[in-house]
Amino acid sequence: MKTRLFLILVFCATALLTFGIYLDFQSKKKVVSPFHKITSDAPLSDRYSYISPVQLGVQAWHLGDFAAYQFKTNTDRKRLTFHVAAKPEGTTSNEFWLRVKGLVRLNEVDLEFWRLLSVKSLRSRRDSIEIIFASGAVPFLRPPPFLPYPVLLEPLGEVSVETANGTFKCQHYYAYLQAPDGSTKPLLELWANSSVRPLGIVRARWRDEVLELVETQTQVFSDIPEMLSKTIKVNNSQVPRIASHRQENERHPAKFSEFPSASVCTQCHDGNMGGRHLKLEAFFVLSGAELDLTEALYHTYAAQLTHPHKRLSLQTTSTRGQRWSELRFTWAKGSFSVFVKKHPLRRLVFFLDDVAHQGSILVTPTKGRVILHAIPPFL
Amino acid sequence: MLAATCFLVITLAMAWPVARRLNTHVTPGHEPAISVAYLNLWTVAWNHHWLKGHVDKYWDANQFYPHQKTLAYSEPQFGMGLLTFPLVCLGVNIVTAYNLLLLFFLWGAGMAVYMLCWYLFGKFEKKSVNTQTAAYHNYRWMAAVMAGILYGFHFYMFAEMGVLQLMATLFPPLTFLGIHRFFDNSRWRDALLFCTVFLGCWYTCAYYGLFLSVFVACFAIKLGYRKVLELEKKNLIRGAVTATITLVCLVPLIIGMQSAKKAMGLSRPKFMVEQISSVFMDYLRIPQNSWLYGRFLDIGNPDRGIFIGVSLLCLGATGAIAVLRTRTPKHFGEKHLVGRGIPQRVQNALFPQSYGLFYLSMAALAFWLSFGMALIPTDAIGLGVYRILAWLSPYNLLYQFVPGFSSIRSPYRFVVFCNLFLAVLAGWGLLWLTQRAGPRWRSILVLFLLTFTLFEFWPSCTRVFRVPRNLTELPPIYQHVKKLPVAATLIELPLERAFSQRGVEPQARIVYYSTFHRLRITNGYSGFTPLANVELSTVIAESVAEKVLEAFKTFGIQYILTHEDELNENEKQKLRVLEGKGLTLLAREDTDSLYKVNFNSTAVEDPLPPIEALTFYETRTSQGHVTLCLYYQVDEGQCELTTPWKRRIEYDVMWYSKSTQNEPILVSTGVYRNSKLLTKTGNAIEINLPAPPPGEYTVSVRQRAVADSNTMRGLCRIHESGFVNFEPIL
Repeated sequence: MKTRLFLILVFCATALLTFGIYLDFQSKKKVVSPFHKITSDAPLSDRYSYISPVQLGVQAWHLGDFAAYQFKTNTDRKRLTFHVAAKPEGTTSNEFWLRVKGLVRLNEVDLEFWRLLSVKSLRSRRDSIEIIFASGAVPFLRPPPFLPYPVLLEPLGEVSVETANGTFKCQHYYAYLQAPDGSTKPLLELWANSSVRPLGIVRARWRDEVLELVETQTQVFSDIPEMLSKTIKVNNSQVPRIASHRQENERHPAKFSEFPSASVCTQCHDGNMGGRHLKLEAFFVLSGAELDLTEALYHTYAAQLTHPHKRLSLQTTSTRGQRWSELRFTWAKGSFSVFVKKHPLRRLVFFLDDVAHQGSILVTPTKGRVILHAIPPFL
Repeated sequence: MLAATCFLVITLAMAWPVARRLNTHVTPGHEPAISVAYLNLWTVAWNHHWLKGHVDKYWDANQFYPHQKTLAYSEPQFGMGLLTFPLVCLGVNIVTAYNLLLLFFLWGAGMAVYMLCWYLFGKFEKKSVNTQTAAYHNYRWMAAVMAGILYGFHFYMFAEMGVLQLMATLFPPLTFLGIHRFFDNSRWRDALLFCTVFLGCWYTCAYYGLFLSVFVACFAIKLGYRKVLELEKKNLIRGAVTATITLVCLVPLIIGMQSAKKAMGLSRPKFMVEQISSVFMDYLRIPQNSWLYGRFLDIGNPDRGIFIGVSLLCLGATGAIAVLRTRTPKHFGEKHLVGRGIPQRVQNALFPQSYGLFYLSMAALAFWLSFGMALIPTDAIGLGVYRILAWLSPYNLLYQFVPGFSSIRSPYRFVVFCNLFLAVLAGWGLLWLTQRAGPRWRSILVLFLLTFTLFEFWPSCTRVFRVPRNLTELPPIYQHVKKLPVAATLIELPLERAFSQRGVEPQARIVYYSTFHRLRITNGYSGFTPLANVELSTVIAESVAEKVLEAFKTFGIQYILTHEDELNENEKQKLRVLEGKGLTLLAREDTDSLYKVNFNSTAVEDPLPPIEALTFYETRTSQGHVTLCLYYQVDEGQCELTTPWKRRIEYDVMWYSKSTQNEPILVSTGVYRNSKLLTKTGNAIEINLPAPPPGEYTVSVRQRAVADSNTMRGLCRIHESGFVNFEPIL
């Protein structure tokens, strides 16, 4: 009996210890997984943002600072611009709205990324937001990826770098990203000059990708579109507001007919797939993320089967794992769903089921619920 | 016979939509589109085509022209072809043969586990044979049937009904039955059974074959070590002969798959394996294809899940407890056990004593392996003291050291083996319960559990889609395609739109339709798509009409079939430009048109274009490697195709510590393992190479086996941290 009791105790203690180690390991893994993603997969257009301008000698940003770069890869060339475009009203902090343009082009439309940043870091704070904006569209707010890994710079000496904007005397660096356990992995190679604002970068390279300065200016001012200027004035608690805004509208779905709904996928559909009601659905879900949902609806979806004749749920998930809200639709004749999932780099990824892709879905708000109708052959 | 009938009834009832439309429809399972089913229909038909002797080269199937070994880009499924060949010879159409095979696999999986359990639970020690009663015999039968249902009609099977090879789950239990029988009796017929079903597993689904090999090795060690220790010469010889024959029979499959892997670099990178490994939540994700969970309780999840099921889990756990309590009766004494209500015949059964714990540990191993690389990240850097775990991860060890594992990407499919071992334990658990329960309650218990299991696993309505069975059911334009010369090459437009199931379904359909005309087509759908095909889509989408024609020329395309209702405006416009200038209309039916390309379009065999520049830089993932990037001189409007078989890209790379006068410290051959459509904007080719230790080197690069090729040199600095800098020497 004593032996058996002893064995049980040993077993329990071992199980508890193993479980504790497992939890500790999982927590470490969770922290380190994005680190691996960045250091193995991330393109240069993501990597530069880990470098702090202060580290490169840039002391302060001024409203109107502007730099343009050419971004070259083996297969692509594009122009990237960085513009200290605005300062939030009524704040004394040294944070500015940095506008980045040229990173992503969707359906012949350039997307702009607006982030509230300071010269100390190009990385967003945990509680900040990022705005994706395209001319004529409703700004789309999302929490940016928050990745807390420090960057170490290894100086290699001073060199002269010739660019389309002239010759710069630069400090040459190898930049490393440091994991939580202190180990490092290469991030990028860069040539920096403190007079180049806002980034301080003259040239950066990772594998075959090169970012090279082509133009710098100061005192560049441009009009901020009205739709965007209203958005960037609001404080950082906008993210929860999206949910509450949506919930409010869910109770009054008729409001959504006010939104415009023109979107044509030029790559694989000639018409406005799904009709205007589908676009209303898109607005309803993500508060005006027209361009992102165009991408989601037509191109990057991974089809999932939702069984016909059942209720389906639509969830939006914040990038920190907290649900904004859950929407449920009743639909007796077919299925349509949008899944928003967490990407390892904390981007939002959208998933649609195949039925929605048929272009046979009509969405109408009725009695506080959104009813999805399918037209033949899916009935 | 009764069991076979039972399983047949359950199969027909559960897969009724398939059985009802046996000769016209196929099911996509939980796949959103029938793309995989189309591919499997094509694969099975290709096997028939080869078995009839219509083609010489088995592996060079008629998709992705001009690429070779295209059958090996996904499962070749020779076993499927062989099993359905007699039906096709009797005049059964391919759709019926496919569906019959599907139903056979469903029925066979249950039967196979039934047979395994019947054998395992019936093995008694000699002294207790007399105690066997008719009642025990009946409950043993019920327990075996229950195990068969738990395994053969699991949610997994109905979810994967659209992927024919994943339905071939009957072979693993039959393999274990063969092993048990062979080690118990050492008879040739048992060796033959093992050999046949093990090869059947490999030739129907290489995934399961590879996974099964891991467990067969464990079984062989567990069951065979005594025979080795006791030097049972006769048994050892028979075992060695069986193993040798089995391995020899596997050689053609392995050589074929390896040749494609070597040519096209079909290895799956670790991060991809990590993405398709299961995570713990997958086991908790309740399937939507169950009537009970998906429709009645409405708690099903549309995402892929590998929920084991309440009945399997509970009965499996009961079986585990039963095994632990009855495995060592000799130690505790029979009286002790009888006093605890454990009947004599259960105590003396050989299963818990000899195999129970082993089956339990195998279930745990399968469960662990199903996590693949998800438990431990593919890169251990940053994990501190846990770095060592990355190397102790069993799947990582298999990936690193066991050939074949680096080519597969879905470790979650190990769950099939977890289900199998749990089902056997569950069967034992039920038998144990019936022996412990009072005589009055036994039947009620069994009836309740059987009903609940069927109720739990009952699938919600299986979707089926009609597919054409012969040429007359295809769109009329294919009548014209059929009249083209046998050696003609064809492309159907549009090509793949976006990487999604819905986007690729037309390509899969085109591949299936090619079974009726048998022309070589540039379109393709498979587990792997050659890079040149992807780039051809880009050229069609982004380039001017003349360049598109040039791309067709370099692919050796002679005929173009367009489906205008699926083309976008951009593509229609290019087609209009080319009509009369490079294409001649041969036939038009509704919105489908067949064109002939106006040039002598045979695959070009000119030498590769000259290299404009080269550079070395960091690799993406491999440590101790560098990337060599070659930039070819390609003019605007020019398209050049390279494949591993024609215009192969192969370079000798020599690393010198100081000057090229000395002996090189490292010589390696860089081979580009894919195809590539070289264009003005896409003229770069990346090759991964082993790198020398950190330092400064003079490196020279020369095209292999080309006598007059230029040697290019440069200075390369490899930094300890992994950075690589290169300066060419002009």
